[in-house]
Amino acid sequence: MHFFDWAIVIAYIAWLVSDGIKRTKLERTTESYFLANRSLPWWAVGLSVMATQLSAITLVGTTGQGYNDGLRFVQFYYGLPIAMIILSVTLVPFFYRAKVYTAYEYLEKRFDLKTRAFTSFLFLLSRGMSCGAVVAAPAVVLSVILGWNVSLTALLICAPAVAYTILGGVQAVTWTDVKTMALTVGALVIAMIFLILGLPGGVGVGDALTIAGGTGRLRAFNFDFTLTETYTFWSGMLGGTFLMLSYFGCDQSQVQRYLTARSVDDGRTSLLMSAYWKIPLQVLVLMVGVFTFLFYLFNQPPLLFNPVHNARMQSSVASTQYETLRQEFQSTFQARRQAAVDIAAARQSGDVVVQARATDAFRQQDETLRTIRARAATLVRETTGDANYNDVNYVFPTFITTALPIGLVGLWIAAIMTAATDTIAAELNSLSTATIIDFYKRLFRPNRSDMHYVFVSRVATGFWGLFACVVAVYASSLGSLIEVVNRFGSFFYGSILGVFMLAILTRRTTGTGAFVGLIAGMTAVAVVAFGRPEISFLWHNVVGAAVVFAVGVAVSFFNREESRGLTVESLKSKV
Amino acid sequence: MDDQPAGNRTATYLSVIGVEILVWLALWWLQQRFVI
Repeated sequence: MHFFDWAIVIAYIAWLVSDGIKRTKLERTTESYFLANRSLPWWAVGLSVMATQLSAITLVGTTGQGYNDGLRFVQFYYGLPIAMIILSVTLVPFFYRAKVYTAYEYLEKRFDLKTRAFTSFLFLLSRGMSCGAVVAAPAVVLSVILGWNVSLTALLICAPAVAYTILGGVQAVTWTDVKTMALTVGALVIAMIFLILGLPGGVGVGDALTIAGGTGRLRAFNFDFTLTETYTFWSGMLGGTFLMLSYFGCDQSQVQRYLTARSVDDGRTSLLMSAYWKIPLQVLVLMVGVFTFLFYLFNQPPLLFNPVHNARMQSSVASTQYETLRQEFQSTFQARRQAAVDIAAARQSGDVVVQARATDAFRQQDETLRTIRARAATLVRETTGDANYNDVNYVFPTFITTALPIGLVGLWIAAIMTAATDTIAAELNSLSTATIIDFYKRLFRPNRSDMHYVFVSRVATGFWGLFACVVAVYASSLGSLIEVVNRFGSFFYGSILGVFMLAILTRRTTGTGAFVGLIAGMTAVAVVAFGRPEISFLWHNVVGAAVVFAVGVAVSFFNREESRGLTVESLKSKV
Repeated sequence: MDDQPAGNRTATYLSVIGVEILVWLALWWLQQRFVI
């Protein structure tokens, strides 16, 4: 990386940390440290909600998915706007009226301590783990692409987040999110412009889209109803809605963002900002991936995007086989490139027959190229013993470091690193809040001063930062990173959502009913996940929520505890 | 605590659905227009 790019990365991270440290003086009470005295404007909170969800995994993994599969992944988000509306009507006003610090505090008001403590524990477990995966994504990729040490890279991402979150609390987290969101969107737009301007002469945007469409990469709707296909319209609308309801409504890392808003309306508006913008933003990220595919359609890509594996294969016992594949790859690339140019020329001249012939040739060469890459991947797995080899996360970083000019490389590396940094900062902040409010203050040291709680919150943030780094190193050995994060969550998300549904929607459900339902829901998800692994993980959320709800209602029917009744109907008059 | 009248909130929610339908239509057009 050029000196100037280094300077951009270091200057930007230094600015984030120093700005976070400036906010240290403001944080003297738990309400200011955790909730910014419920004083932040809706637009800052809204950007923080979006930035927390848009991590480095989005920038690295999703652009790679766009390169490989096109727009297919956008279906994952189709349920998001509906989930946001449901949350704006239900949970958001609940949390505001109940004056809670954590989402799980409400469960004690509605059920009992054990339900609150258990759900909060599940949050700590799943979010703590995913926090590690969020660091691992950019750490592994950047270390390979730039030749850095993976542990040091993880530390470089973690350390600024830990520093400004410990010192500046939620204020630092939110205002850093605002800056990083602006940087990320700017970097995406610049990359898109660069990719469009980089199309070869004679190939217009319409031609490029026609070529991408010819490979199925513009397919954003799959209406097949199948439980085994991960991304379909139905899995997005049903499984996705349940996942988003759980993530934005029951996950402290998101709930804490909108609890900092000035009013219940500001909280709602901040969530609805994602409802309006999340899908278009995701389309932009995937289209950057699609145009990266088009870039490498006209510019020779490497056979393997992971340079470490590329070097290892060249010096391995299978080097001759690898070299043969590489030469085959190069000649097929040239043939596919020519077919793509022919499609563009035929499209411009309006010659339908020639276009159809060129399209057939293009598809054939594209399929051959896919097969060669698949054979190379198999060879890597057999030679290196790396059973999970997949270079999807290396495509876009390779483009950044080899195709973008000096300055833009630094901008993008800074965007990737700080996208991870600000996501884990929000997560560390929420992990610390749940640790202190739901456990330390509630169970162990109930009557200490606010200064004491702020101090132990800072210690807890440091502990979770260290935990995230340790998990990051482990997560780096697991397959496609974006699915790792969602898999961690889907084991608990649906079940936790089921508990909140029982709390809000039913009047007679008791604490014991909810607790037994939660155990049953998680057991059901485990049975489905291990017994029928072919079923897409998005459906686990539906299974978990449905089983918790059904078992919770059934157990409460036979259980004679008194219900506290803080539900949709009764909350207004009782809080 | 609810500053906004309920009618305004309903209009906001409807506009969210409207924007999602518009995005779907745009993606559908993209999918159909550039399929060869």
